[in-house]
Amino acid sequence: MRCAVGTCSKADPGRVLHENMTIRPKILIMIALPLAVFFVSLFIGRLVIDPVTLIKVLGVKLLHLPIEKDWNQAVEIVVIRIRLPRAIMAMMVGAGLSISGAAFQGMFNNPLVSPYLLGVSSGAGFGAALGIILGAGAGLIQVSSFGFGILAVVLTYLTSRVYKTTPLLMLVLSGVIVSSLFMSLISLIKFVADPDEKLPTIVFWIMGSFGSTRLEDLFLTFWPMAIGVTGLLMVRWRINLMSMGDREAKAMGTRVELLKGIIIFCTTLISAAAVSVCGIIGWVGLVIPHICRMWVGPDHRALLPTTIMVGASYLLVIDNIARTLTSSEIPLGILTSIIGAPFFAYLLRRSKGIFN
Amino acid sequence: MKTVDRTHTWSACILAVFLVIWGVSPTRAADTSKTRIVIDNAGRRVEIPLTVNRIACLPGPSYEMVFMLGGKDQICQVRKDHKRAYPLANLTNPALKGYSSSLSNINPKARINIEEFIKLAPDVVIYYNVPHALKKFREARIPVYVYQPAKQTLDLDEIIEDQKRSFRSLADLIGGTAPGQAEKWCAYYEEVVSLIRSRTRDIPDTRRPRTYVGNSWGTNPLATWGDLAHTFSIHLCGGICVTKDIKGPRFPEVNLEQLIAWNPDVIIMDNHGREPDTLIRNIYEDSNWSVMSAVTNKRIHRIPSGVFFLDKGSSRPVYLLWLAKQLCPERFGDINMVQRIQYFFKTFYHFDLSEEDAGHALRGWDLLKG
Repeated sequence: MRCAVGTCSKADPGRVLHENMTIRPKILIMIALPLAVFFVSLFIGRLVIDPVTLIKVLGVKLLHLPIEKDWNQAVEIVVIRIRLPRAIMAMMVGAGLSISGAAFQGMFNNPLVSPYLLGVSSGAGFGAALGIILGAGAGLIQVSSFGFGILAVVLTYLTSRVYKTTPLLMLVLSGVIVSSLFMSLISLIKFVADPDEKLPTIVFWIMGSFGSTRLEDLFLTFWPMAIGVTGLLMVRWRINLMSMGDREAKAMGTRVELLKGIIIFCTTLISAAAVSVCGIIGWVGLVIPHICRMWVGPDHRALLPTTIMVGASYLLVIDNIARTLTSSEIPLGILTSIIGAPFFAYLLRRSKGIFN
Repeated sequence: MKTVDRTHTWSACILAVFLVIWGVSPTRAADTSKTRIVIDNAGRRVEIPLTVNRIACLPGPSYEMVFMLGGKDQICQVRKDHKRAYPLANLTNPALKGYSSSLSNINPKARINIEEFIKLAPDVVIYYNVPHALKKFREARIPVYVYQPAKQTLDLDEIIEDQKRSFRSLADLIGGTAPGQAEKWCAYYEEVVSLIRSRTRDIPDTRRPRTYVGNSWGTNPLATWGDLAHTFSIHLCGGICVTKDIKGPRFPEVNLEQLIAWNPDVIIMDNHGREPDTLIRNIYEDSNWSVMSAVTNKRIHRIPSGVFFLDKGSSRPVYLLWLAKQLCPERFGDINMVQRIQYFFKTFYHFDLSEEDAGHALRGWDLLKG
């Protein structure tokens, strides 16, 4: 199925962005939505904090305002070291997975594609499961997950190389092979893992959670995410060419192989960083691009920035539910689908499947 | 006509051979008068040989319970971790290293290879309540005693009754002096529970220390327990469990903010996994945890070591005494845990635990360095 993408005019990207998002309020909503969700997120949680106190804490700690401290240390720790990093992490991961999904859907010219297509999630999941079964600490598990996520995509890429090219079909098939291999290895680890000891940890990890996010994790995750997102934003108008097919893109002077390499590199960095820090969160990278396409159209110059904003907001809302609904954490992987699927079905019915 | 006769002759021969094989088959030959019935932990009637000589112990505390009840020479199979994870298990039973653990290479809840069990030729297998495995055992005519602690419990008394029932039925299975040992253990358990209850029942909820139990099996102390056993034990011992309302998976995770909101006075860390001490040290060093009373007052305690986990199986009376002493030190100041643990091992394991080793056990004993 060919994804409806915009024609590639030579107009400047800024103007096209405005053309596609014909109504200016859309831009305002796009900017205001994540900011509002972020701000509200800081006010909700299992520890009841007076909003005035919370604003004071934010003022002192973030803006260094000269306000006298009349709150206890627990409030400061919860706001600054627990809620704030967790909200930022959820936004980074949501934004990263969504833009990766949109870029891949454009590159593969297929709306069923998710950022995990080339095996990054199963590779990263295997890395984490291996770390857990070997008794590694949290940091090492994260490194192992990131490393195996990258390795899986490298294997996919090398497998798909034919005559110094990487045909899309070969990439997809190689991705299926590598994913299947790593999924089998995960199953093997789960099979031999002690059912009382390691197995629940592996299962919970794979289902995804931001529960153990710390301030320090943000810096480790930020760089791969920033490099990946920046890279994708820089080539976003070229993704329009890619979505017309390799031959057409080449005919228009695009260095297709180089562009594919850049997109795969960027999405892999983002996805591996995301999975290594919070487990496998499905659905976001598949559906958010569709929702955004319904909203701003198929032109990747407008679509990619929109997926960042909407994806960040979506995952943050989901994580707020995961951490506040009950006294124990609800795995994110469950919520993203349970809440996202009916919402997407509603949008799909309403738009009658027309993305533009 | 001749053809019909020949067919009949062949049929008769095949039938005769089949009946002979059926009749001499060892499993069919079992004389029902030489078997007896025991009721297992799940309430099933299990037909076992009159004299049980070979017992395969696979679920968690099964080895420890059979050993304590005097079935040492009847054990033919244990789990690998029974042999290597609990220093006290090896101290109390030097023969433990020699037991076979060949069947514990795989996840016991996964599909079993029934031929391996047939080759082992146990008189009875103590196993989990896993339907597909029980079906295979039934088809192979291997008696299975299901070990499964009660899941739906309403209160502590129900758990205690269930545990006593487990010991008594397991003693029936072992035979010999085991029933007497089981009764002695039940009496001691009741005595300990009564002692603790008499000292803690008047503590109002508002004055009970808020207690959190961290599960040290993973690397995340925010993983806890989703069952009620800890909740009831903590209440008996004078505390109140902060996770009492969590009814979820076996090891649910809470977030740090929730824990700060609960602000536990005491944190009990399981004696699982590789490095509970490291987990505890990391908590003390982590400034995010520093706002909790348990951390500022240095009241994070690692559960002591037993022949199995101290809080499960036969050592529960000792665990409850230890827990009461941690939660309400002012009410249990006269309880000398070294003497108590020495008495327990002497009485039930017929083992003289030195004062030094009792100290090791109470400090949790390093599982790997053992």
